Order: sequence, then structure tokens, then C-alpha cells
Amino acid sequence: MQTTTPSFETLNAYVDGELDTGHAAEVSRAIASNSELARQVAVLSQLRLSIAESIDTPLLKLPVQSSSGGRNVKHFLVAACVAGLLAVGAFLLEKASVGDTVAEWIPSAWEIHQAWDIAATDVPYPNNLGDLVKVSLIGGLVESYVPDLTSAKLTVAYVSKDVLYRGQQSLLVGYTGTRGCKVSLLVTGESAPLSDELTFFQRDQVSLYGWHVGHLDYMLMAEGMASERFRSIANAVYESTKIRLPMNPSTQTLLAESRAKSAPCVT
Amino acid sequence: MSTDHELRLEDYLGRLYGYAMSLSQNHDDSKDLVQECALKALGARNIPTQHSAYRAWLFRILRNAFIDKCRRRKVAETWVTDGTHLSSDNMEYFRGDERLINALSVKFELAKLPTAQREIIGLIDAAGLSYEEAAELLNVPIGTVMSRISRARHALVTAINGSNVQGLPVKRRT
Repeated sequence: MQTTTPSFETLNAYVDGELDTGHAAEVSRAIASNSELARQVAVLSQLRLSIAESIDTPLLKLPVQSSSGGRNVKHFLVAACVAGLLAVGAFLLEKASVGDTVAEWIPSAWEIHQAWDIAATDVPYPNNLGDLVKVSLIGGLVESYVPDLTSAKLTVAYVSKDVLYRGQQSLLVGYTGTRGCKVSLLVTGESAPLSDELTFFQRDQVSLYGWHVGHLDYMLMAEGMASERFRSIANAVYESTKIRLPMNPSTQTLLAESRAKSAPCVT
Repeated sequence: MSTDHELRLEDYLGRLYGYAMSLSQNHDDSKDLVQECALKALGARNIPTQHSAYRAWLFRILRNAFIDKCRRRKVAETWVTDGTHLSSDNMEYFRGDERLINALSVKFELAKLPTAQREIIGLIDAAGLSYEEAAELLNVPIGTVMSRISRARHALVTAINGSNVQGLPVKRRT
């Protein structure tokens, strides 16, 4: 029996299980006798699978519905007052806690930054990683977003995922520049008292940017880099990890301009 | 204690999020859309009992919430009713290297597609709707859904083939 070659649309419907039994059997026969059709089906199946995998679904919970009517107003006011007091208490506690731990966590992050050797990096990473890469880690840490910084003339020279930061397995990405710059991006679980906002920290000679996205903390460290340039890189990396999308062309231009204006790194 | 409606709704949160991401391309906006959709669904008086109708109803709530959001932000979107940019020319098979197709390359290239194409992919591939359900939701014939999904996937694999996005090889320290 002669079979006609199904169209691309029909192959899509076949992969989606949308054809009736007779039509699906006809397409199956055509696929069995045509390797190109089999390849198309494999591509579509792989695409469907990859689309499903590409969605980083967060932990979602049903919203709590507010109760109606005025009888609970008094309870609500009491609860609001208690909540307010608790919030103030928590805020003060958090402030105190941050103050206590900043001095502790910055040096340990900086130690990791200093531990990798800029001269000994022979890792054959491609200069252009793509716009952004996603790295899955073991030990409960997944979905680290590592941006491409080639527009800032920084290339990945070192990657290690078995770095221990405050007892937690972390990812270290080391970038090197062409003028002696060394930049580290440390990605870890919620180990540092970081907020969702990009924050600059300075203790003694150490300076770094830190922020929090989802269940991950990001820390960006550089040695001897002009502060303006460091800030523009931190801003770009922060935005990329936050929106989980590549840097746009204007940001890339800003990074290139910032580098052009700044002096070489001093170590 | 959770009601049947709550339990049923909870099962859909992930898929609603997938669809919301295909529309908004923003993690926070998508979470907000899912919450808004869930709130409206929980507060509804007439809840469809039939499985397929319930599903279509939920996704319609989310879609409407997204359209409202666009209107509030005064985003001039023509995708809602306009599918004319999706050519009706006969489409060729995909040429290229299927080894490039993975979650990472899909994520990047999907973000660059027009909203109408992202939406149909979101409905069929991320949310798992049937062509019939998607057609009802979009208020178009099933044939249009069939055509849109194949064109959107074709555009996606073609974009992936020209992409330079790749996973980062990670070396263990010795």
C-alpha cells in the first residue's frame, strides 16, 4: 500500500496524539519507511520534552482567601497590631543578626575568591559561553544562572562546583580579563544574610556585591577593579540572574564602554 | 481542610505557571498571575465540574488576567486576536541539528519568539492542553491551533539551530 508523505503540521499533530487512530496508523507506516520522517518526529519529541524541562516551576501554594463580613474586624485589628509588633521585632532582630554575621561571611567568601589561581587556569572554556548558561548542581542546589561577560572582556577561566562555603556546596565561576582582572561569582544556598536587592559590602580591603534570587545567594568579587566598572558588571549580572534572561544589547554596550573607560586592574 | 476544588486547583498551579511564563516571560509576573487566577477561581460561584471544561475555565481566567495586566500597563499587544503574521505557506521540514535542542537552548530562544507563538507553545507543550481545549480558549478553529503550533515549533527549532547558548562544563577540583 502506498503512503503519502505527511506534512510537518500532521507530524506535529501525530506527536501530540491529536490524530484519529486510522490517520495515526497511516503516519506510523510512513515514518517506519522514511528515516527523514523518523528524524522529524524525534526532533519534535525532543522539543516537547525540552520545553517542559525549560520551565523552572517554583513552589506554588494556593492563596489564602480573606474572610468576608465585618464581624472579624476586631480580631483583624488585634491581629494586625500583633503582626506589626512582630514585624518590628523581626526587623530589629534581623538587623542585629546581619550586623553580627557580615564580618564573618565576607572573609570566607573572599578566601574562596583568592584561592583560585588566575595563572593556572587552563580550562578550555569557550570564549563565548552563549548569553547565559544554566548550571545544575548536586546537593540540593540547582538552577544557577551564570551570565556571559565577554562584552566586558571577561571570560570564564575557572569553574568549580565542589567549593564549600559556610558548610554548603557552592558553585564558583572565575572570570579573567585581558588586563589582569580577576572576578569571582560565587553561587550558594541561602548562606549569607543577603537581600533581594543588589547590595555593596565593604570590610577592610575586601569589597563585594551580594544579592539573593529564589533559593540562591550570589556574590560577585573582584580585585583591584575600578569601582565604576565593578558596579556596572555587578548590576548587569544581578539583572541577568534576577530575570533569568540574557543581557540585552544596551547592557552589553554599557559593559564594553565601562571597560574602555577604566584603568587596568591593580592587584 | 482542603476542599475538592482546592485540591483540584492545586494540581494545576504548575501548569498555570508554565502558561503564565509563556505569556509574560517574567518569573515574578507569572507567580502573580497564578495567584490572581487561583484567587478568582477560589472565589467563583459556578465552577465547571467536567474535567476539560474546568481546565479551559482556569486557563481562561489566567489569560484574562494577563490581558488585563497588559491593558493596565498600556502594552500595545496585537497578539490576542491577530494571527496574521503566522504565514499560511506550506512549511518544510526542520533542517538542522537536533542535538542542540535542550532545556537551556529552548528557554533562551523561546523568549525571543513573538507572544502568539510563545502562547501556543505554552498552552500545548507547557500546560498540556489538547488542540480542542486550546482552540476553545483562543476562540479559533482547531485547524488554526494545529497550524500555529507547528509554525511556532518550527520557528523555535530553527532559532535553536542558529543559537550559541550552551551549558557550562563544570570541572571538579582534584
